[in-house]
Amino acid sequence: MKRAAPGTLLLLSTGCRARYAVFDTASPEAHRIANLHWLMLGICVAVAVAVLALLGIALVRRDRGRYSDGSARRVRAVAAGAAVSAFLLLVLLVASVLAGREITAPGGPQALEVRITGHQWWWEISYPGSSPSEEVVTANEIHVPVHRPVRFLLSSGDVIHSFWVPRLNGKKDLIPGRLTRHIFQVDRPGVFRGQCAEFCGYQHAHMGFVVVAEDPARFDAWLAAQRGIAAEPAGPSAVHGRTVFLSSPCVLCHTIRGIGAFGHKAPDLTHVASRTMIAAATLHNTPGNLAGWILDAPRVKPGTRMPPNTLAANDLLDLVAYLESLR
Amino acid sequence: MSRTMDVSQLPDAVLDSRSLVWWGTIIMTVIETTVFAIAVAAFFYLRMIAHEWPPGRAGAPSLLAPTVNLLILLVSVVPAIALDRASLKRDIAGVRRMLWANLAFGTAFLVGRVFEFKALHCWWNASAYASIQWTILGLHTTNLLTSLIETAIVLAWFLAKKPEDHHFLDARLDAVFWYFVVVTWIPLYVVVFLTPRLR
Amino acid sequence: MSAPAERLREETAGLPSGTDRERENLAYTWRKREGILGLLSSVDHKTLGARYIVTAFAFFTLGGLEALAMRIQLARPENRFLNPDLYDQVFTMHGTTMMFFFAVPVMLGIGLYFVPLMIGTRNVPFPRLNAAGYWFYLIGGLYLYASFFANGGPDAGWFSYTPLSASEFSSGHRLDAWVQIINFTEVSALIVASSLIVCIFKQRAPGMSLNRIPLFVWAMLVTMIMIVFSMPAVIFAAGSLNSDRSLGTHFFNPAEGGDHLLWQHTFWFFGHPEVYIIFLPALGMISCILSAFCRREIFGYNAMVLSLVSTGFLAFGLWVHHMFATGLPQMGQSFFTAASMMIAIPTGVQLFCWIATIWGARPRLEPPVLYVLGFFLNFLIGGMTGLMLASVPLDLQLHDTFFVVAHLHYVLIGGSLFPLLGALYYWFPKMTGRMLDRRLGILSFAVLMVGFNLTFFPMHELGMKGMPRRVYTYLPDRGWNGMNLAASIGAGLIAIAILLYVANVVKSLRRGRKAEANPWRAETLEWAAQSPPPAYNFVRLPIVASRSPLWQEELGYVTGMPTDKRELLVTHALDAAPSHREEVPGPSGIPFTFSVILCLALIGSVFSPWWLIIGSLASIPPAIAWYWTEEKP
Repeated sequence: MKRAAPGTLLLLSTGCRARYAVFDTASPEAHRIANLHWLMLGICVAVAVAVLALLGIALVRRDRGRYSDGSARRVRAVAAGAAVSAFLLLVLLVASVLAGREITAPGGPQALEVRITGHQWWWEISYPGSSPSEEVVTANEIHVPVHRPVRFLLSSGDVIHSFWVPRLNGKKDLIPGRLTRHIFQVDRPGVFRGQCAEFCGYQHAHMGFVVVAEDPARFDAWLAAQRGIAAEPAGPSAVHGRTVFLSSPCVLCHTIRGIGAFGHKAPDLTHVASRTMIAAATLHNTPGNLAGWILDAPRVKPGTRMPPNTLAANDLLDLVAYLESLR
Repeated sequence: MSRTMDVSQLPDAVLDSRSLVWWGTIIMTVIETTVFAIAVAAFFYLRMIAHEWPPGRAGAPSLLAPTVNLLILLVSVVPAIALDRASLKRDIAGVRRMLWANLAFGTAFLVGRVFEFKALHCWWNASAYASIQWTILGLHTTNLLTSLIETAIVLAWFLAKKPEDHHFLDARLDAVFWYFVVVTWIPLYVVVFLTPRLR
Repeated sequence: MSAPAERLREETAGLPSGTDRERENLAYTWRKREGILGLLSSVDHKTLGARYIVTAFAFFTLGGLEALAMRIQLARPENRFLNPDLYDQVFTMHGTTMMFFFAVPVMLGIGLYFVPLMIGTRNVPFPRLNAAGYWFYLIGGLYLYASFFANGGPDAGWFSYTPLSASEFSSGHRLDAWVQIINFTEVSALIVASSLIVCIFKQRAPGMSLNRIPLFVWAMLVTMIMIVFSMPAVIFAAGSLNSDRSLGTHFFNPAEGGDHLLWQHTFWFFGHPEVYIIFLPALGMISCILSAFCRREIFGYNAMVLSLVSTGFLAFGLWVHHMFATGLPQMGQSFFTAASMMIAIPTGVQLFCWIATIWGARPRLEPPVLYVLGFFLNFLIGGMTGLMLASVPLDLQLHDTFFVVAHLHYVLIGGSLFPLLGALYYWFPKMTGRMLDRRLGILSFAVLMVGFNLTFFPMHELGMKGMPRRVYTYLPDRGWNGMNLAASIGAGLIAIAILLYVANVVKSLRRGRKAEANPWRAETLEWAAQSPPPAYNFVRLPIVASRSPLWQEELGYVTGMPTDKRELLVTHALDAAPSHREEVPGPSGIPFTFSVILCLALIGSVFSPWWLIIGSLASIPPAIAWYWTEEKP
């Protein structure tokens, strides 16, 4: 039941209780930004209230003497207003620059490096190993160890996307032809939702992902498991499912390592059953959802590149059984 | 008792920078200059991010045709100044001659411009370098063509009809616009043809 | 048309009404042509200005309907009112319509109408060019909407980031339409800008030295100069995207040395000044309204002018704050944070000067003043969220979320639309000769205030809860449902408010109380003309001796201007001493013909490059005719 736990956590954390993701921080970076926000909000609200109060008084007062547009008292008042504004802006500027420095620190040699390539409308995740054969490739679900900086190298395979997990840090764009860097360090275990934050076409709205933070031992175990090739199917249903997979258009786009499927246009499915969600964090990873997605992806995400598939009922069931066995 | 001011004795046409049309022409040249400035900024931006500039296939542009054409352009300032002066003096024959001269030099420069495009040694769709080079040359050529058409139209009037004061102003403005074509070309020549040779 | 001398003297507040003969001659000299030809050939700045305003509000309505469609779609999670393809077109059309076809043109229209009146001249300096500019604008808008109704509307956002907008990811002609309409709108803006800059510098009434120019005219001058320096960037950007899409250039192709950030830099170098182009005229309008209703000059004229100028200047140094998430070097980004915060100072100075003006004046709370008060509240909120977004770390959280949608609408609607609606109410009597209904005016203000805040305030929360922008729907378990529903209800209220305003206009055009020349007892020169002004604006051109001419004893006037020729009085740029008289052309059908041919060339070029070549050649005969015909009365 390893998959159920993160799934439950996810359900709880995104459940009915409304949360301000930007303030419900789980990393020093996001925390720093949240603090900056409160400082700015405080100063801004104070200034706005003061100005509106002055306006209110201005509306009700009645002039006694003559009005002169250069009268000394008013000149001093306006000048004071300008000076106070300038001072407060300087405070905000300094606070902002200092916070900026803290959230972009490179992370040092102990940082875990993760490469992310954005696609329309899913996330390709890879953990470079010490050699190419050690590389782990997965999709839409990122695991990180807690208390260790994670450095993301971001690029795109098509249009500009943006990587954003509000509870962990600000966002960073994925730009084709460029490599951008992003960093955060998660304070405590948990499941954190992310979403694409740069308009990238039809299914920008459903291009989500999930960050699972766990303690180092569990993370290492996960990484080692992901490195392996696809699990051998057990039981006739799953075995038949593998055959269905290999003889369907699936292999044109998807990779399942170890069975000879090397499509590169779509998420790597070698360990698809280990993920809590499918379709870029749009559907929970249940057999029913998986079947519906395979049968008619465009009904769930109109405009998606995955075509609908015509499969006989038992072929579909077997295929789902096979995929659900790929932990 | 209100003040009054009698303006009936004021001139009803002027041939210099007091004219509204003069100001309009200057503003148009400011707009065009800004377009050039943005294009040149884009040129240096692309150069800054390039690994190789110009990229391998193109090589730096050759200098013979562009330099010859630049000289033609610089010499063409002379008839432009003469046109300017003739218009101020309201010398119809002089204006006609200098409009013809302007047209001739402009056409010669336009012909030379074809060789300048060839001197780039690349088509516009070869690379980003090629694209921005063609764009800068193309923008300047548009101004050049506009100036030539304007010269032709003003010349046609001076040949066919009796010019009034504001037509002499138009002839002057034709010369002023030509100064603009020349003055903008000098830095653009440096950018397009000389800077690719810098390392 | 002439009126009895006595009534005229009452109607024209302060200027002599001239003799019957003068008025007849002027009316004849400055007359329009009859019928359809009259419509197509008009070069009167008031006609063109009014056309820009009415056309802009027609586009505003279309943009508003698009907004309503989006809000209906987003009212519930996983709604099926608009599929993603249609939604993407709708949000792109909404932004493109509002920014290019409403906000800038309406300001151009008001400037065209009122600047010549406020400085005491008879028309703008390049009448036929201005006529052509309007036709470019109208035809561009018709082309955009024809594309949209043919399911060919642009769908990559009003900002069209590459590579989404490049041919690989946007095949077909949708983005070609977007690229082309940039040409139309920016040409018309540049034409109006050139005319008004020359007009303001060279056609002011004698005695209107630089330090006597009304603050609204200063605001328009700064705005027009900003147009001159910012439009070229979008010309370059759109032209480059166009050539990448149709000619195979590589400006935005990293594989051949191009760069996607080049698009963002060139677009936003235009895009940021663009919003100040929309904002600055509104600041000028507020000064007009407050000085009239507080019955005193705006406090701190020099500070106000310096603030306008420095805002215009600083606006060019902010553009990278739209690109904080693209991974640019931090030190460079901090410069733009500083600039983006610094620009708050001159705006703040203006707010303080207005408060100083209001202080003790007990202005009558007529609708224009109510809209100004609405501006104060809404723009303050928008300005504050702007400061928050100027900070790089905070922006990295809030960028591209509904927080930005909230911010931009607070500053654009609060900062520009509210003053605009107030100014139209204020100037309606001058333009139409009738007063608007006061009760309806107050009601439409109140509904707008409530509706606007109900729509956009919740969006701050949505952004902070993680909702990105430009999404056609959202999952039901994100916690965004309630705020979205509230925003959609608010949008309905905004629609009602606008309907009420329009109803007020329609009703008052027919049955509004007749307006005299200066119903508000305001001080600027437009109130010295009749309501509405005749084609020639003033029988005798005024001379001014102060900043508030109509509050002086009696206006001086110019004699010796011919009434049988269309002549403008040209004055010197600094001190407005008379320089000379210059004749300008009258009504002509050539600008319309020229515009149609050139527009067809541009639209046709989307389908085949031959159209551009043929069209350019075909536009030469009208250009020659333009020069050849003198259009004398």
